[in-house]
Amino acid sequence: MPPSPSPSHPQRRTPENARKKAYKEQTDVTNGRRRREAQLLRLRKSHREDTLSKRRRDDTFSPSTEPEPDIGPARPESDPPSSSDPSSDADSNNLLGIINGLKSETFSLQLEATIKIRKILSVDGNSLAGEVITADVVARLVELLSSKKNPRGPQLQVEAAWALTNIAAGTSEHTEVVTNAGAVPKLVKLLESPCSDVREQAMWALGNIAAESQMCRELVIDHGGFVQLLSQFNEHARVSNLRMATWTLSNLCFGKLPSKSQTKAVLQILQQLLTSIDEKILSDTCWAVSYLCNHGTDEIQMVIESQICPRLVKLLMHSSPKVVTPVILALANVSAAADCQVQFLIDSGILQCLPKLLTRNYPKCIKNQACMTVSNICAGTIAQIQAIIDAKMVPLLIQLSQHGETDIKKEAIWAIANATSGGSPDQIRSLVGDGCILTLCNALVLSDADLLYACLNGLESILKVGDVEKMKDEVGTNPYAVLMEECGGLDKLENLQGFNNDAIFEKTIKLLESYWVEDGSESEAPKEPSPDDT
Amino acid sequence: MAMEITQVLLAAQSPDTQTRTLAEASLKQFQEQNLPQFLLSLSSELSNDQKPPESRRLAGIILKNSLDAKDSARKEYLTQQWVSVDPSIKFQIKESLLRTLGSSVAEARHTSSQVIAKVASIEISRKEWQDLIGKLLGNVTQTFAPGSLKQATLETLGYVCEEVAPQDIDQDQVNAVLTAVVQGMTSAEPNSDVRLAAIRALYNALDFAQQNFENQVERNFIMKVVCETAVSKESAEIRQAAFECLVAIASIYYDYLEPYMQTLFKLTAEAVRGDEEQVALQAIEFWSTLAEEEMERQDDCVALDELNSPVLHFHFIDKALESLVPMLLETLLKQEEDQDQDDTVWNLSMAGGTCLGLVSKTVGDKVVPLVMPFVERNIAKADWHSREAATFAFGSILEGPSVEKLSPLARSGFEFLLSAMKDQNSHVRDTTAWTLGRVFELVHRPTSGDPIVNEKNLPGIMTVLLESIRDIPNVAEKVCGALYFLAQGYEDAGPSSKALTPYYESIIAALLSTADRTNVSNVRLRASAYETLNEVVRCSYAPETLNTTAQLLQEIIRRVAQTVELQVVSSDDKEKQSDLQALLCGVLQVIIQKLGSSEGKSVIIQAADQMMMVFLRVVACHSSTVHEEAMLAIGALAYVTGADFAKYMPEFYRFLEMGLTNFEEYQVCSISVGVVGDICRALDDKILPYCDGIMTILLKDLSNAMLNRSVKPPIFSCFGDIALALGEKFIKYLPYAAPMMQSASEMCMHLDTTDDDMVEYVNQLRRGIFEAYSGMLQGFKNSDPDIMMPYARHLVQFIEAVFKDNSSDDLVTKAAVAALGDIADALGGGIKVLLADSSFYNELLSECLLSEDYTLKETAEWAHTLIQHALQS
Repeated sequence: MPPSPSPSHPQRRTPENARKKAYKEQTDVTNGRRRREAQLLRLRKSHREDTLSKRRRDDTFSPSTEPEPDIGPARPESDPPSSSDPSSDADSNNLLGIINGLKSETFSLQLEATIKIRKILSVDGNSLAGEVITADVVARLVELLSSKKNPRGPQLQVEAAWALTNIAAGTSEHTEVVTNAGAVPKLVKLLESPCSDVREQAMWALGNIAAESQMCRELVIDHGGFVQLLSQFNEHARVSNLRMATWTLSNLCFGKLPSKSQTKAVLQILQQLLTSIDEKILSDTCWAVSYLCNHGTDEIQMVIESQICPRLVKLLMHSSPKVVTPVILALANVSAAADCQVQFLIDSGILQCLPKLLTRNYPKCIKNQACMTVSNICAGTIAQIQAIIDAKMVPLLIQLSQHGETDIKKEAIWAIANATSGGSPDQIRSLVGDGCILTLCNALVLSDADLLYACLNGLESILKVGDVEKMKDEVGTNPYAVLMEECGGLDKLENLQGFNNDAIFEKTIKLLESYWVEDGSESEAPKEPSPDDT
Repeated sequence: MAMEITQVLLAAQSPDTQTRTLAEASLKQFQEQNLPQFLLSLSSELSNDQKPPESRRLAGIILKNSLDAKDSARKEYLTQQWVSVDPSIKFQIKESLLRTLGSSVAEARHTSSQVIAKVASIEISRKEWQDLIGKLLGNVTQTFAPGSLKQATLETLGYVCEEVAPQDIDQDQVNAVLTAVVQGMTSAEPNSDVRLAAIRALYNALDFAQQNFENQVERNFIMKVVCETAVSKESAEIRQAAFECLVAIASIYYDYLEPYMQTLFKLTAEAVRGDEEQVALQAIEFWSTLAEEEMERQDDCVALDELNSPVLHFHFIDKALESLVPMLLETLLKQEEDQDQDDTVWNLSMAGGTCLGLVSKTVGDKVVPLVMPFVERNIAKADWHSREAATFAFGSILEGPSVEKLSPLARSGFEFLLSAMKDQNSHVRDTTAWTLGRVFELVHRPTSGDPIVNEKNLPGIMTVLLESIRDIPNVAEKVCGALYFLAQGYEDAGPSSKALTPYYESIIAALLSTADRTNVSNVRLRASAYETLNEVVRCSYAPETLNTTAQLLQEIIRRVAQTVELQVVSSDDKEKQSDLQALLCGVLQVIIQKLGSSEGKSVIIQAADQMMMVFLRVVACHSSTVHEEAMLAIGALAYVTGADFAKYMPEFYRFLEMGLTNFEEYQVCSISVGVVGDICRALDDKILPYCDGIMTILLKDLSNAMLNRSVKPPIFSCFGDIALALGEKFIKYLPYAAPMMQSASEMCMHLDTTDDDMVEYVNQLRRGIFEAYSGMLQGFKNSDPDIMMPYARHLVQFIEAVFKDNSSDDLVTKAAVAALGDIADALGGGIKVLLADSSFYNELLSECLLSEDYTLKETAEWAHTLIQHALQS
C-alpha cells in the first residue's frame, strides 16, 4: 500500500514552478539527454531510409540510364508522370470539348482543359497526342503561360508549361511547333514568377527546348533565358529548383556559348555547385563542365583558371557513377589539351585516383575514359611520363592491355605506345623492364592503323635505346631486338609488310632494315613461340 | 456492512516497521478479497467524526488512490474497477462522502471534497451521479448553512470543475454554479473562509464560463467581483487567489480583456508596488502570462493568412510598455541576500526579471531604450543591489530585440562584464556569468564579419572563464553555461570553428575538475560541467581536436569504471552513483558520435571492447536513467562497429531483453526498441539467433496495455528493421507480426480527430505500420515476394483509408506512398490484381507530385514509375 502524501492544496495552475525554471534559464541535464536521444533518432531515421532506399534502387528495375555524352544533351530522366489513365479521360469525341475549353475565356475551363491535355501528353504513345500537337492548340497553351490575375493563375501556368514540356520532349518537329509558337520568351518571363513550381516547370520546358539543337539553345539565350537561369541560383532556391536549374544549365552548355563572359559566369556558378552534397545537382553540374571542356582549348583554359580541377579530381572518388561519369569525361577532355594544361591535372592528384577507377568495379565507360586519360598523359612531356611511372601505373596498363575489355585494352596499348614513343632512354629501359615490348609486339596484329603506327613508333624508340645498349655489350647485339624476336614480334613485324597502309609499310620496312638488315625482307621460319606469347 | 478498520489504519502508520508491514499486508488482503466492502469501510471511517484524525486521513488517501492514478493505464484500470462495484454500495459511499462535508473536522471535509471530485471525474462523463451538483448547490444556498459546510462545498465544486470536462456539464448547471460561487465571493458573505473557498472555486470554474464571458453583462459582473476581491482588505490569501483568477482570465479570455485593461493595469501596479509579496508575485504573473499569450498570438498571426486572421491581438504589452517596464525595473532592486544559492526562493526581483525577459521577447527593439538608462545609471553604483539589478536587466532583454540593435551595446559593455566577474559580491558575479552566456547564445555571431568574440579578445575571455569556473558553485554553474553557448556558436561555423581549438585541452581539463569538486552543495554543477563538456566536444573542430578527444575518451572510460567501485551504502549513495554513471555514458555517446563519423573512427573501434565492458557493468547496476544513457551510447557504438558488434551480442542480449521488457519505465523500453533497429542495421542476418527472443518480447509489448503507447509505433518500425535485416528468414515471424499490424491499422481508422494528442499518436502509428510493411516487402523482394501477396491486399486498403482520412500529415503520406511503391517493387505484375478495383492511387500520386515537399515528390515519382512498369509487365 503506498500512502502517498496528499497535497494540502489541490494541483493548481500555479505557474511558479514553470516560471522559476525560466529564471536565469540555462541548460539542464534531462534536456541534454533528450537532445542526445533526438540526435540518435535522426541518425537512426536516416540509416533506416538509406537501408530501404538501397533495396529500393537495386537490381529489379532501374528506370534511368546514363545519358551518352555524344548523342546530345540529356532529356529529363522521366517525363512528368501522368496522374490518371488517359484513355478513360479522353477520346476523340471529347477532344473537341477539351480544345473548346482551352479556348474558352473562363478560367476554370481553361485549367481543366489544360490538365487534360497535359495528361494526354504525359503518356508515351497516346494516340491522341498527335491530334493535340497542332499549331493552334500549342499557340493557345503558350498564351495561357501569361499570367492572369487569378489566385490559381500559377497552377494554370504550371499545367500549360508542363504540357509544353512534354511536347518539346518529343520529335524535332514537335519542338519546332513549340518554338514557332513563341513559347521561349514567355517561358523565360516565367522564370521571374514568385511561385517556385512555375519557375521549375518553365526551366524544365526550356531545358527540353535547349536539348534540341544549337539553334534552339541560341534562341533561349537570345531571349535572356541565360541570365534569368543564372539568377535562379540563389540562397533561397529550394533543392528541387536547384536541381532543375542545374539540369537546364547543363543543356545550355552543350553547345558553345556565344561569349567568353558567359562561359565565365557559368563557371562561377558551377564552381559553387560543385560543393553541393546533392547527387543530382552534382551530376548535372559535372555534365555541364564536361560539355564546356568539349568546346576547345579556350574553354578548357577557362575551366582550369576557375580552379575547379582539384575538386573535380576529388569527385572521381564519389560513390555514385552518375557523378563519376561526367567528371572523368571532363578530365579526359582536359587531358587531351596542351601539356601545360595537363600538368594541372597531375598537380591536382589525378594519378592517385585513376588506378582506383581502373581496378575497381566501375562501369565500362568510366574505365574506358580513365584509361584514355592515362594515355593522353603518357603523350605528354618526359616529366609527365615520369609521373605515370612513379604512380606505378605501368604494370597496371600492361595487365589491362592483356586482360581488359576490347576498348580498354586498346586504350592501355595507346598509353604504352605513347609512353615508349616519348620517353627518355632511362624511362624506356624501365618500361622495357616492366614488359612493354611484349605488349607492343602483341599489338602488331591489330587492324587499327593509327594505333599500329603508334606501336611501331614506340618499338622504334625502344630499338634506338637498344642500339645504345649494344655499344656496351661485348657481343654487339641489340638486346631489345633480341627480346622482340624471342616474343614473336619480328614475325608480326614482317607480316605487317602486307598491311595496306603506306605509312605503316614504310615504318615497318625502316625498322626491319635498321635492326634486322641481314635478314632482308625474307621471312624466317617461325620460331618456337615464347611462353608468354598469347 | 462496513467493517471496522480503525486499528489497522493506525497500525499502518506506526513507526515500528514490523507492525506497519503487517498492517499494510492485511489492508491489501482486504482490498483484494472484497473491494466493494473495502471501499465502503474506508468511506465510513472517513465520515465518522468519532474516529481519530490519523485513521480518517489514511482512509481518505487510500480511497483517493483507489480511484485515480497518474499513470493512464492504471487510471483506466481503477475506473473499470469502480464502475463494476455494486450500485447500492457506490450509493452508500457517495452519500457518506457528501455527509462528511458537514463534519466539524476541517481535514476530513477537505479530504472528502477531493474524493468526491475523483468519483465525479469517473461518473459525470458516464452520465451518472447527475444530482451531485444540485446537492452541492443545495448546501450553499441554504440560508442557515454553517460556514464550514459552505466552505467545504465550494471547495468541492472547485475540485469537481477541475476534474470534469466542460462539455459534460449543462449550461444551466454551469450558470447555477457560477452564481453560487460569485455570490460566495461578494462582501455580502460574512465568513472569510467561505470567500476564499469561493474565489478558489471560481478559478477552477473559469474553464466552464465560455458562454458567460461572451455575454457582456455577465462578464462585467464577474470581472467587477474579481477586481473587488483583488483589493479586499481581509487577507492577502484572498487577494492572491483573486489575482490568480485574473492570470487565468488573461490566458483563457484574452479576447474580452480590452475594456478592463486600464483598471487591471492600475490594480496590478498597486499590488506590485504596495501589496504583500505573495500578491505582488501574482500581479507580475498577470503580465508574464499576457506576454506569453501575445507571443503565441503573434506566431498564429504569422502562420495564418495575416489579413483574414481570426486571431485577435491587442498589443497590450506594447501599449503598456512605458509604464510596465519601469515598474518591472523597480522590482529588480528588491533582491534578497544569497537568493541565488537557494533553489527554493522565488521573490519579486526574480519574477520581475523573468517577466522583463518575456516582455522583451514580445516587443523586441522597443524595450531597449526603456531599459538601457536604468542599466547605465546603476551598473557602477556602490550598492551591489544596483549593480546586480543593472546586469540582470541587461541580460533579460537579450532575447527579442534584433542582433543589430543589441550588438553595439553588447560590444561596448563586454569588457565591463568581463571585469565584473571579479566583483566582490557573488550575486553580481552569478548574474554577470549568466549574462555573458546570453551574449554568447543570442548576440555573438561567429560567422558574421565582425563577431563580438574575436581573435583579439578571446584570450582574455578564456582567462576569465577558466578562472571563474573555480568560483562558488552557483557562479561556476553559470560559467559552465557560458562555455556551453560559446562552444555551441562554433558548431558548423566554417573556418572560424577552429577558434576554440587552442583552448580545447584547457577547457576540458577545467570542466573535468569542476565535475570533480567535492564540496558541491549544488548538485546541478556536476551535471552542468558534463553537459558543457558534451557540447564542447560535439562542436569542436574535429580534425584538430582528434587526439585530445581520444585521450578524453580514455579518461571517461576510466571514470565510469571507477564508479562501479564506489562504495554504495545508502540509497542516497546509489542515486549519486547512478547520476554520475548516466552523465558519463552521455559523454561517451557524444564522443562515439563525434569520432565515429570522422577520421577518428579507428579510435572508437579500438576502444569498443573497453566501452562495451563498462556499459555492461553499469547496466547491471539497475537504474533506469543509466540504462537509458548506456543504451543510447550502445546504439551509437553499433553504427561505428558495424558487423563486428556481433561479438558483444551474447553478453549484451541479456540487458537488451531487460530493457525491452521494462514497460514500467517506458523510456528505457523505447530506447531499447530503437537499439534493436541499430543492431539490425549493424549485423544484418547475424542477428537471427536473437530474433526469437526479441520478436516474442516485442509482440508481448504490443499487447501490453500497461506500456505507454508512445513505444508502440517504434515497435512496428522495428519489425521493418528486423525484416530488412533477415530477408527471407523473417518468414517464421510473419504470421505473428502481420495480424498485429492489421489490427493496429484498423484501430487507426476509428479516430477521434478532436483530440490533437490522439491524432499525433495515430499518425506515428501509421508511419510505424507502413515502415513495417516496407521492410517486409523489401526483405522478401529478392527471395519469395509472393509470400507477401495476402498481406499486400490489406496494405492497399490501409493506404486508401489513410489517403481518404485528412488527419494524416506529410510524413504519413510519404510513408504510404513509399509502401505503395514497395508493393509494386516487390510484387511486380502481381499488383495488377491488387489495384484492379482501385483508382485512389492515381489521385494520391498526382497530389504528391504537386507537393512542395521535394522528398515527397521524389518518392511519388519513384512509386509512380514502378507502378507503371508493374502494370505494363
